[in-house]
Amino acid sequence: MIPATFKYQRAHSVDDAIAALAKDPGAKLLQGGHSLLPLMKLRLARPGLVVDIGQLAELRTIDVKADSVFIGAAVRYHEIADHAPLAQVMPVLKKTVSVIADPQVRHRGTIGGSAAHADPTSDLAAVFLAADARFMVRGPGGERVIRAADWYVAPLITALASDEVLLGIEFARPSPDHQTYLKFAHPASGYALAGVAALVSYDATLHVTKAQIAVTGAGVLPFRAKPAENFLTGERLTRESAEQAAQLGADAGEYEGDVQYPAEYRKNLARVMIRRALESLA
Amino acid sequence: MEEERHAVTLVVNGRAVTEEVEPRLLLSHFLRDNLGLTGTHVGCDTSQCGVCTVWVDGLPVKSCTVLTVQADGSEITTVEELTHDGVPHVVQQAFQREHGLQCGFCTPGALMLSAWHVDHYPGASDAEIREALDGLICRCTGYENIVRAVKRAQALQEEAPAAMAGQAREEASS
Amino acid sequence: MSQMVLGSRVLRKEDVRLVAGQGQYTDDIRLPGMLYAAILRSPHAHARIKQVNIKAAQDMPGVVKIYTGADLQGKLQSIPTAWIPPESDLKMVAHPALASDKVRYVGDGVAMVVAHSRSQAEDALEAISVEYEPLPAVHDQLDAMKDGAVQLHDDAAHNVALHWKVGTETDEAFRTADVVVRQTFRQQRLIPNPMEPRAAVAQFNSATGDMTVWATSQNPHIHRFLMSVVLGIPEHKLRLVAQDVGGGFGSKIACYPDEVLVAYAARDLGVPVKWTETRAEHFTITTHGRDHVDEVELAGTRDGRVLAIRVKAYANLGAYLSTAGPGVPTILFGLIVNGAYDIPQASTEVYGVFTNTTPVDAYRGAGRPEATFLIERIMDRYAQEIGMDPVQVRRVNLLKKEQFPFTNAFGITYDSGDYHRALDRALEMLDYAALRREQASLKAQGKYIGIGFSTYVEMCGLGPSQVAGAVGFQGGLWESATVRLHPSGKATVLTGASPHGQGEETTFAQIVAQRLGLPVEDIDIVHGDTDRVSMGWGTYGSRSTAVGGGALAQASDRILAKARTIAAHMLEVPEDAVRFEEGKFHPEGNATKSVSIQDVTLQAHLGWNLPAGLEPGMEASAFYDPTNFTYPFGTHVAVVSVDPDTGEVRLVRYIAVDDCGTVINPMIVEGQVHGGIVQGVGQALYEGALYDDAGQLLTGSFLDYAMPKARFFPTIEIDRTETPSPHNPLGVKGVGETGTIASTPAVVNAVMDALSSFGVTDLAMPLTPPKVWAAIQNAQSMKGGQS
Repeated sequence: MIPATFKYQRAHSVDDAIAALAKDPGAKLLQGGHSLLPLMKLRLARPGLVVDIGQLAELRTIDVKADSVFIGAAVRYHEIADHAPLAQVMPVLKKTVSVIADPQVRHRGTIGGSAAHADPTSDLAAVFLAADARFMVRGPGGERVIRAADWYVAPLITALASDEVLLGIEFARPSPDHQTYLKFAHPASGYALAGVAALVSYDATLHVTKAQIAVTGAGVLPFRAKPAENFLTGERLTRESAEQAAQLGADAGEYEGDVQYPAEYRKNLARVMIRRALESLA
Repeated sequence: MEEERHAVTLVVNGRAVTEEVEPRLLLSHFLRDNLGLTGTHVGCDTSQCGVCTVWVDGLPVKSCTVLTVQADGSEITTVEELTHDGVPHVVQQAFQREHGLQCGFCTPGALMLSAWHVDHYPGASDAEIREALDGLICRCTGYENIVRAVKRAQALQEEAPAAMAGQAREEASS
Repeated sequence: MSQMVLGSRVLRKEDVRLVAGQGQYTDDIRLPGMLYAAILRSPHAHARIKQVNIKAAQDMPGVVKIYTGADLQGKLQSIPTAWIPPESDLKMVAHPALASDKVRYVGDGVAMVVAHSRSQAEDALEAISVEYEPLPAVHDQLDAMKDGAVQLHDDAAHNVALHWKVGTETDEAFRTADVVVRQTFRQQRLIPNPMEPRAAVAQFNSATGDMTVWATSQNPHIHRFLMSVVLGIPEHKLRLVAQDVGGGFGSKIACYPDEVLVAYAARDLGVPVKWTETRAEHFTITTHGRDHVDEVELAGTRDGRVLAIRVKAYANLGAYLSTAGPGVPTILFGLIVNGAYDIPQASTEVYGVFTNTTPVDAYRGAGRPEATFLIERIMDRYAQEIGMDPVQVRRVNLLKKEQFPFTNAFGITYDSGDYHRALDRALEMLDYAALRREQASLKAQGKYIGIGFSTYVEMCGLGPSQVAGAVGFQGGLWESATVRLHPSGKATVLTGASPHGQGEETTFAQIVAQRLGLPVEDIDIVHGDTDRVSMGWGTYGSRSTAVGGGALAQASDRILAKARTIAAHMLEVPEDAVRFEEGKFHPEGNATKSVSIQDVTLQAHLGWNLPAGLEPGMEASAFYDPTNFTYPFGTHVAVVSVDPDTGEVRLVRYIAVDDCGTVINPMIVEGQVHGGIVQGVGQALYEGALYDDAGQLLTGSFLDYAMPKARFFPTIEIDRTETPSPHNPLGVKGVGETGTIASTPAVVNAVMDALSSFGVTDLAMPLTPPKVWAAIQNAQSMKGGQS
């Protein structure tokens, strides 16, 4: 299958891309292409202009600073997985990108492309939400920051305006001590039927001092499991508390079923995966 | 709409190629139709099956999900280039010796994925190999002998590390 | 050397080109001036076509010509079916290559664009506007048979395409039996998905009238025959070529509208035309498999003896009759529903039903997996009912070695077997008793594993032509072979089989090498070209080695007989005093004086000094028609774990002990077994086509149709026994389908074994996590309600 015709422009800078977007409201940004091109091949997406920002050096940096971590929008999954300093300060990122799709996809797919595509089954969405990621964007009017909590507006729709470019994603440091991402994958697509990012700190007696938990795939939108976090804070992390937190966390989501995976099953998966993620951190 | 065309230059299997292409031309079609490199196959439309896997700048990617214009300036390696100076790559030998292929259609993708994997994860376990093979759908082999072939390739590579390294250097500089 | 060739792991000759990316698949063909076709397909499952407007599309860049159903009316014969089961009242409905009045499934062709590039052809499809009047659609065979259901074809009342019965009287057994077990099984619809999409390229020479079609075919001669009829091109003017074919699994048997249309356009336009299926098209237009509802009844004694089995099957045939479609759920299914067991009374009744879905045809195993599934599942249900171990119930009923040849209640004769031996070997590999103990101790910890068995037999090696005729297959089922020795002693061997992954370029070379004492590397196998191979019936039904191999053995023996005559002449001894060993002829008792087969062949070609009256040359052909089917058998065991929290089933171990008769190349046999097992497990756990009420396929891509992946599987443990088939020259039985036939019920039985703790006795395939989870939830809530 072949995409419908379009014009192609390789941007020379972010500002160049912003200018191109301003000229053509039907334009789409392209990085690795692993979200956009499959839709274009099926002719479900047919942008008149494709602006390629995948090679822009300014979008391809990983910067581990004292108080934050910045990952450029065009950084590829495998580059995140292979970045040792990043894995040290935010191990959940490596864990997550290592289970996205397959090796070939990880060589092309980008963190920014995934964020902008906003597939509700995206693995990284759980991490963005759990870790309170900050989305740095630039438009004709300048730069602004969008919080993860505001990023996911609806399935495949983000708070990014059509004339804005996502520059990268920032995470505050330090992030909690214990981190994981656990996923129950769809057997065909490999997308998350339920993916849970859990970032937890606890003291020497396993009493939780901080818990940040988010769920992707299971719900209509990826969501933060706040009730689970609230419950867990101050509790000892045990099988029982994990189960209780999981129940509360799963209740926080909104679920819709499809012909193969009914809503109640998705909710159950969210619960089971939250519990297992928490148990794995104890 | 008349299609605009872009001049692209790629190094394909060590040879520089410059062509004018439509933006919508997928790398898989460019290789097959424009260059006649029909060893790379196309098995699906949704970037799932991995049959079309080639190396772009040394990394296996699905060529059906890369625009040729995106790959402008890249180095592409296809299955046709795995045999170097008449010597089959260890994965080519191993797939044959372990019966890692039947109809052969997914094989070019399987080889390009496996060759990279053997190089980067020379001690990978069966389970790790099976995880990596998530990037491939094979309907014939049940994967059993593909896993064995990758293991065998690991062993072959270990037996002849010097020769392999030499070949890799040559490929990198070509 | 030659004595060792049969039974040894000769590396595949075909791999040399395939690992180098030098295969030639149909889509690899590029001809000068070639145009590209794309086909507009109905988005509706059932609709009347009011109007097709191609004006705008004709003006699109690169468009050469657009054909609609109306354009082709009267110019092409109906797409045919080639299997007409006798006494089935088969409704031979018309199947036009492009629909002109009515579309009957999503994917039914409506128009074809031919353009200068594939992208231009696809662009133009979007500019064709078709006005449809949507009609109600029915996708389920039981719904389609109901009163008031929408009718697909005027002459098929209640959408019944065929009704067929076979077997013995069974009422008495069911009246008097201690135990009757009844169960309805749904065997879901599967999508074959060989990795190579279908494709066709056609080239026509208007001066000579010669047409060449390259196509993805498992049986080029059948394709040539059927296309010759549909297109009105005489067979000697029509050449079908299928060199490398990227898997078929039954889906490349049928003659489809697509290749017919491509050939039509090539003739009409006088330039080569190519069409290649997209994967999305494959999901909706290439024949599907299975799709049965089977009502099964078993009558037995309390002590485990099965007395009778009765099956009523409703087979969904899709919107039209595919090439072998009517034969699959009847002949290939109904005659063997008693499985590997000595069941004195048995009957099968089959309804084949039209629905607004993709036509159904052979899919790896074709009918025999359906039969095996139901008998193996009902045996487990019976064991459960009488409180007997599933292995024990099998032991009681499995045919014994001394019963062969065994004629079953349907009148087919199983050739040879030792079923208990295969079962014993599997149990030994499994360590059954220990595993049952482990199962019990795991259960105490809230962990669930299950063990499932399948002691199967199947009939393959299709088959005697006389039987083909008796069961309504509109063709022969013999096979041809030509062995041609060149003056140097190198050999070109032609076969009518058409391998597409099964490795017969190697297996067949081994057969000839063994017989003629030639090195394997001196023998090239030619297949898949109707201009090079005189005639053949192709590769399906695990027939290539059993039947095609038989032809090769006979042709080789003819060569050898002639060579012996010449050798005797050269050695100046009587023919009966000539010994042939390892490629050399020598006089009895004198191994030092010898002539090689190469020497003899050279002399045969030179013709300088041949025995009086003997023709020069060294070539022989054979047409081998077997006297029976072959009956491979074995025992498969699946061990699964079930996660009650998620419903996920994991295959923990898989053991297969198969007997496919004499083994020519163990490496290739094992590869066939591996692949077959994984494909059968696909049906048990992952795969299934789902339609919505409008007849739209909901699982139309690899994103939602779950193909088996490497990480779903443990290492497969296999062994085999060898019981030669007594009736073919090689003793081979066929192994292409055994894995698929055996594995599906083994896995389902294992899952049901694990779920027996919850009181769950049956679930419909595929056993996906949500289904298993829901069943456990229901069982637990029912238990909770009772307490």
